[in-house]
Amino acid sequence: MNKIKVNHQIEIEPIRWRIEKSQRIELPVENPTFYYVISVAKGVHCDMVLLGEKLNATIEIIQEEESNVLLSSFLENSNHKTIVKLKGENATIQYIQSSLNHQDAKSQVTIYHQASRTKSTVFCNGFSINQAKTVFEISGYVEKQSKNCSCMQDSKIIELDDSTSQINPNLYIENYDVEASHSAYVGPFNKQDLFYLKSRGIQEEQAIKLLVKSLLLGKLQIEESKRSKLIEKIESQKLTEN
Amino acid sequence: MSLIIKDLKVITKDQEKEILSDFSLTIKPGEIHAIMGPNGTGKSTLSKVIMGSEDYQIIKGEILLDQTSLLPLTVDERSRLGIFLAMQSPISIEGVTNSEFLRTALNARREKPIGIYQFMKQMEFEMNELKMDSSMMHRSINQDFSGGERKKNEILQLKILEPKLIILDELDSGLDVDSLKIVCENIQNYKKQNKDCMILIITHYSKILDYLTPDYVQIMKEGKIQKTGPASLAKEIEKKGFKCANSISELVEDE
Repeated sequence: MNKIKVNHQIEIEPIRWRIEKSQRIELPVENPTFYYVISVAKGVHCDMVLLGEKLNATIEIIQEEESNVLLSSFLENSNHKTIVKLKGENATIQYIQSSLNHQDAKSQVTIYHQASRTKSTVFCNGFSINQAKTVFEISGYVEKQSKNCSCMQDSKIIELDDSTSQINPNLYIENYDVEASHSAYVGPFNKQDLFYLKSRGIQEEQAIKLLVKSLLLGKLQIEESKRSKLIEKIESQKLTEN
Repeated sequence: MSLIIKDLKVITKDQEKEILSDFSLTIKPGEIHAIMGPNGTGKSTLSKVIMGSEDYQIIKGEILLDQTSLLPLTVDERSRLGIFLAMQSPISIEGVTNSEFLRTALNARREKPIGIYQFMKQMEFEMNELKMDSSMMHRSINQDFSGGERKKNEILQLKILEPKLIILDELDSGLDVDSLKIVCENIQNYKKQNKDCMILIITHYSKILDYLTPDYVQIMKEGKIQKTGPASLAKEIEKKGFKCANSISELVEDE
């Protein structure tokens, strides 16, 4: 088996899976450096969950026709790359990523629409603490032969200080018959949201914790027990300088 | 307990436009005041300034709640002092449930956190009173709520947080007649149980005043109170419009 370089540093062998029946899987993170290649068979629905800290990881998902993937990930201080190849017609992916970073971290998400009527929706939300630089590079490719595709991106990074986080949304579209959109926001929380919470007596730090939970957990589709652990994790952190 | 606003001059932080000029108002314990006026006269600004919004700058004047100056206090401190602003357009926040939000707000003003069972029981009771579906407590704040549901949610918060001064900023907008009646009945009941509670109603229309009868109606124009009158002044305004406000009613002196 060929070895693959991860982030130009470590050579590792990819671990390959084939998902033949609909299921929910939690991607193992015992070894924080990994390269997973996951192929999803025709008509299969797969909910994937990725929760990890200080990962240095690459995930490649290859989807056959009519397959449907929902990937929810919560990453802390992790550099990672996800590549999705929608190879079969009507394949769909919903990609939801939440990042909590105390140190610089980069996520690259690339979706290739290689067949007609494929659909991708990418939500990436990040919160940077202590001037950590969070970078999201989100790219969608719709190839010339892929008709009636939908390629959507929505990304947000909240930072309370003068860090230099960055979102690079890219859409490379070679077919005219495509529905595509992207939105990106880097900056502080909406003042009106904070005003609303504080107007009910909630102190600034607690209000920010509520908004961080909303940002990072609002869209994630994970089990309640895992959500509770993530809530505890956010609650225990000092998110503001004052 | 009283609210005293003295000679308040307020400008916007970004545009430096004067919105309130020499604005004065006194609300005594238990009184209900209604402020009416055309669009753009500063009614909603007044509510946000009392609450402590950072969008505005106070150039001069004073706001006192029970002899405590509000000006050095933050928004959350003002709320914990007993001010509640029911907003004209309550925002939605995905991912934070109503119950989590309200329990956090309630605990912020208690020494000992309220138990979950006691809190849920109270929520269920108040939601029932407001004819709200109890499943709403587990939904994100105002997420996918109709305009009426959002307004009911504001009053739910009010009843749980038990304020001393209630500011209702265009409560009637987005509410159908039946919902307006339910919401106002709930506020009336709260007022009966908290007789010293003061209410400031900001509205364009007199309909809400049929359910919450004010002690005084104030007509606001160009950033200040132009006329003060009894509850009947609202009906006159509805018939004749704001243009004739100066000539239709005698000024009522504060006792």
